[in-house]
Amino acid sequence: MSGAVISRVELAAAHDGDAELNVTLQYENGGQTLVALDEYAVRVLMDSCGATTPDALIGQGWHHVRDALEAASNRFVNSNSTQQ
Amino acid sequence: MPVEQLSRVRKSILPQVGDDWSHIASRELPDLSEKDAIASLQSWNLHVYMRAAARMGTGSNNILPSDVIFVEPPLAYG
Amino acid sequence: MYDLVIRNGKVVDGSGLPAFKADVAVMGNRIVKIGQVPESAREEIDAAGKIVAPGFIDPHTHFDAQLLWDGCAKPALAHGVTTIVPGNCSLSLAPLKAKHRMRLVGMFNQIEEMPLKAFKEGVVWDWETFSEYITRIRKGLAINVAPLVGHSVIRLWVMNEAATERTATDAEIAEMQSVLRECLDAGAAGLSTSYVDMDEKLQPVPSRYADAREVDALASVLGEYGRVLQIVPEFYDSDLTIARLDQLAELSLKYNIPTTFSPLFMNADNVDAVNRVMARVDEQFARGARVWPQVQTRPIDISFSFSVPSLLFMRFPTWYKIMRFGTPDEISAFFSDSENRVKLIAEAAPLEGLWPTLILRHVETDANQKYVGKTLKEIAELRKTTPVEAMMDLSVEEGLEAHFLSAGMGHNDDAKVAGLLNHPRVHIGASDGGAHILSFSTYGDTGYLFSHFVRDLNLMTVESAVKKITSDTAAIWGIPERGMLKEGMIADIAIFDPSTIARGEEKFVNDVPGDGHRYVRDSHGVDTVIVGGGIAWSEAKGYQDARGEVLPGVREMVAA
Repeated sequence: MSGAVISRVELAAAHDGDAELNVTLQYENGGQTLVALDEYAVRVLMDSCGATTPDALIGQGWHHVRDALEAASNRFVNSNSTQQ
Repeated sequence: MPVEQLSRVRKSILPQVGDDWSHIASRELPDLSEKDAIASLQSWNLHVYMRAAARMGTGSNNILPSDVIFVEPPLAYG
Repeated sequence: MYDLVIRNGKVVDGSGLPAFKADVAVMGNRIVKIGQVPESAREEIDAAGKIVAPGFIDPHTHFDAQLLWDGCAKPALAHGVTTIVPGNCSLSLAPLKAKHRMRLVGMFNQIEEMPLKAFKEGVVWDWETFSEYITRIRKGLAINVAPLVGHSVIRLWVMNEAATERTATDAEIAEMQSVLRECLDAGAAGLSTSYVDMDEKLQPVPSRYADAREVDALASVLGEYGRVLQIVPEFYDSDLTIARLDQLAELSLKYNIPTTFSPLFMNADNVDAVNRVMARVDEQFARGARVWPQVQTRPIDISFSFSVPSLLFMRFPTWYKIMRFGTPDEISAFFSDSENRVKLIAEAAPLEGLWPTLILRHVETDANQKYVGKTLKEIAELRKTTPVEAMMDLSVEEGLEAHFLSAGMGHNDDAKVAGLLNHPRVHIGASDGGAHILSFSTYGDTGYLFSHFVRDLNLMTVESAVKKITSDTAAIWGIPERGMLKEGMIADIAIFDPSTIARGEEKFVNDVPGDGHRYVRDSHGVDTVIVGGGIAWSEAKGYQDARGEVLPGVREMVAA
């Protein structure tokens, strides 16, 4: 069972000009990966972790990140309208 | 430079027809329980969750045919 | 007598060798002499104090739609860009069945922010095949176009709605190969595919439903023609990028094709990761594969208004809370309340360093237009207040539609970015010209290259910068007879002042069909741009000749 946890959070500039949150996950072997979350995903992540500041995300488990990404993606699934 | 001399990078696979987390887990991580293997795979492949794929697969099978699926965690660099 | 002579300029010929003083003579569409040219010409340009270089080539653009109403790809041409590569990221406007038009318009709207109204009012849909699209854009073409055909579009053509439902059958893959051959015969410069883009319903684009055997089959067709494969990898993750570039390397070796992936960004938190990607690129090149990463010159800016929550404020709980939970009226009221303001001002103290660079980029009211383009620090001085209060006041006055831009928030470590730009395996590109038109300007990256990295920071020579965006690009893309100033080559030429060339300030203009807007940057310091021997644009006279071509041209022409 993976025990990856959030080890670092940092504000970053996304390719499209929005601000995004880069979350670094540290795995048990010492390896790291970086996941970028948009504003919606960050909201879900913070709510799910009970965090009120970004730094409070540090130490939280990877599954919170998975669920936040999934929730952020699924908000579009039933949308049939294009952005205009 | 022969392919054998390429430096080691994180091991990944491309999905086979009909692959879902469970199939990949049993094929690539046979020594782990299904639950642990799926959890490990998902934790190594969060990019799969960065987009919805409503038209492909059902339920928790959101893997696309073009996805790269890592079968180990990120390598640790000194 | 020559048709055109450019006199007294300093020739930077695209080879990377030192600049030299010479005249350049043109007859018809070709350079016929470089050196002392005593003979007269029908037209002469005095380039004293200026650099005479090959026209720049932009290998990553999305001008597909704009070319339908603007054969100059404005303002790219005025920046010295004489050749553009549209059709990147798996999306082109052909081949396209009539029944799929609105679907693709939706994708262009989603990915490029090209307004639907622009398509409705600016486009006569008189093509389906790639050949018909080429015929369509050739009319009035002033810039050269080396168009990619999009994998998603080919998939949609062959598989219809199933393009975003499943993998292709063997028969469908064979049909896709056949369609790709038709596109390459008609002048496509290669194929693009994407592993990240989303369609009009924010679902993965069709190319993402392709398995490896489909991509392999299409690459095999590229191998028959020696044409390019462009991909957008999951650029946010270095391990994924490396996995993709390994896939590209195998295809490059198997089918002897050039491949390129874009973008590759260098940020403070991914320096080691980018270094690993580049080390892998070097290894794959050592095997004989051609896998060119594209790196853009410009930094990434963050834009925001208080009408949408922005993570830029997430470390400031009072700010973020009101942005996240407040209605527009509540936010305005909150900003106007004196007690709240004290709290907000105190909390925003760490933003002190931001004010000299935070720019007001857009307002709705006439009264505040005078502040657009100024920094919050400058605006505060004019309004005799503090920057943070100016930001709140402007937001309230504009009904929260005051838009701000924080410049250079990503891809912004000059030394490291310059290291990448100078890397012999890095392909300067990824401008995205013609895309994101409502978010930021994607024009003027070449001006920024010369003003910032060559002139201001002295981190590149002008000769190497020119080489990177001319002969290197032409060589990678197999564009014949362009990219160098040499006798016998096609006369695509950019004349610019090295002491003033730059990208202009970003501005919001109303020049998109259907009363649409976009962000652009004018060129500074570019004097004259010549395409196919004709003056396509000059600072003095604006847009003129239209001698653009579709490159590398149909297969028979290349073979000849």
